[in-house]
Amino acid sequence: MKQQQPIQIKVTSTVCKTLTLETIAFEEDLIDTGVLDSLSLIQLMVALENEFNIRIEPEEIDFEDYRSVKAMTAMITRLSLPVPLSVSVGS
Amino acid sequence: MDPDLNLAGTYKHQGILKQENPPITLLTTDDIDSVVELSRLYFPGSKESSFQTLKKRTAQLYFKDGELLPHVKPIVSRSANGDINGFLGIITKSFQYKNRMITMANCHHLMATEDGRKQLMPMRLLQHFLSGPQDISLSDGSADSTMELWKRLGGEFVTGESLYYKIPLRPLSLATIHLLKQYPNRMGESLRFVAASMDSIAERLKIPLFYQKKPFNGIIPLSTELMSVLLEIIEPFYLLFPTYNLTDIDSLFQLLEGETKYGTLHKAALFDPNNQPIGWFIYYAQKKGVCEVIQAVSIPGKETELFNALTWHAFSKGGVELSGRLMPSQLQTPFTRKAFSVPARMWTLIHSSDFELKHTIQTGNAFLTRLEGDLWVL
Repeated sequence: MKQQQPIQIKVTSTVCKTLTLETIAFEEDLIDTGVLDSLSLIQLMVALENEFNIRIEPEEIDFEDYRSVKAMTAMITRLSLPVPLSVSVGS
Repeated sequence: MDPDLNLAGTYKHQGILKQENPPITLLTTDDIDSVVELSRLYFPGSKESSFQTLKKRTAQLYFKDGELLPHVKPIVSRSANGDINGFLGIITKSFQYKNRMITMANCHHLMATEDGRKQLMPMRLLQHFLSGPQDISLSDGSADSTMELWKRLGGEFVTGESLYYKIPLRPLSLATIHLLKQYPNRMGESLRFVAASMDSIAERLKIPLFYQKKPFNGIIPLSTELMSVLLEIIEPFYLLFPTYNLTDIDSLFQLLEGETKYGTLHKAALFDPNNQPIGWFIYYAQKKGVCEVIQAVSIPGKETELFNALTWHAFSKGGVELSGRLMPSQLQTPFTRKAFSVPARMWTLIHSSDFELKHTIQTGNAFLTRLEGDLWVL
């Protein structure tokens, strides 16, 4: 949870900046409230990719990941995790 | 039932299963009225056709027998009260590619109501479409916004298939049309008459910009059977080529002939003095003289003959301007010196997991024309 806090702050800031919002609550629904549309969603994806140095692959796009700052924080935490290396051990 | 299709109508593609929420379903005949209403709202050009005409054409396009991929059909999304709030038209076509058949799905008429936009329906509909089982997805004549969504979803645009041209045939008349569009006034008719007279004088004086030389080639009406033969002649020049039978061609011709809002349809085949085929062209001529080319295809190397004949033909029908989309093979031809290239902001978009297929299209080795394009005649 502690690890998520800096991410959450940065996500909030990125969302506010990209969507020109003054404030946004952690669990506020951006889709149901009509804040996001398809084009602003793309802008948001690009902004998050740049801010967190991640790549959101087209086939991994799940709209639920963008429903709220909470969902975006969880997605970025997931994408930022180091990929585990597979190690083969010889006999 | 398609094993890749689950009950919610979503595709399992490359191991990823996506559940749409809210659901996206296939278009049914009961939805046609709503879709036509939407089309008339969001595509102003549709208003030029009657409701009944659009309805008939929609049914003709989307509910024909012998579908290639039964589950790749137009899709709709609905709001909570069941009203359609999004639509994507989809048709499929088989193509011959390196001795095998592949399927291409072509999407067009992406529409979403305000409610649909709030539910991200444009993106959801496109994502649903692109995750289908077709070998390649295409969108023809797409707007900037669709291109942005498409690219984000893993697709790309094809520069060589997105270039448009305009050729003035009667320059002064054309200038007058544009002038009167900007500044309509009571003197319009007189101005048009003066411009037409001056164009006519300049033509008689054979001033190059105003004069279209009559070609030596034979121009004959393009029938379904002749088109079929010409397509067979053209096919070996392309790696990716649509498959046609006489019924396909006939129904496309019927669609084109049934459309009147773009003017009178002209279609002709062109032969050289030795009776060898050069190519063919299909275009609409509007009353005001603007001619919209749907197809202008020649055997490679014969593009100049084709366009000379086409410009003369359109000129002889009273055309003031010829416009159309360039095929990549026509980029280098001398006729382009006469043409203005237009940043039409209408993009040809493709999406496929097959790199070779995409490369074939990007390098101009595919036969993609506006005829099997987005069926923009809707």
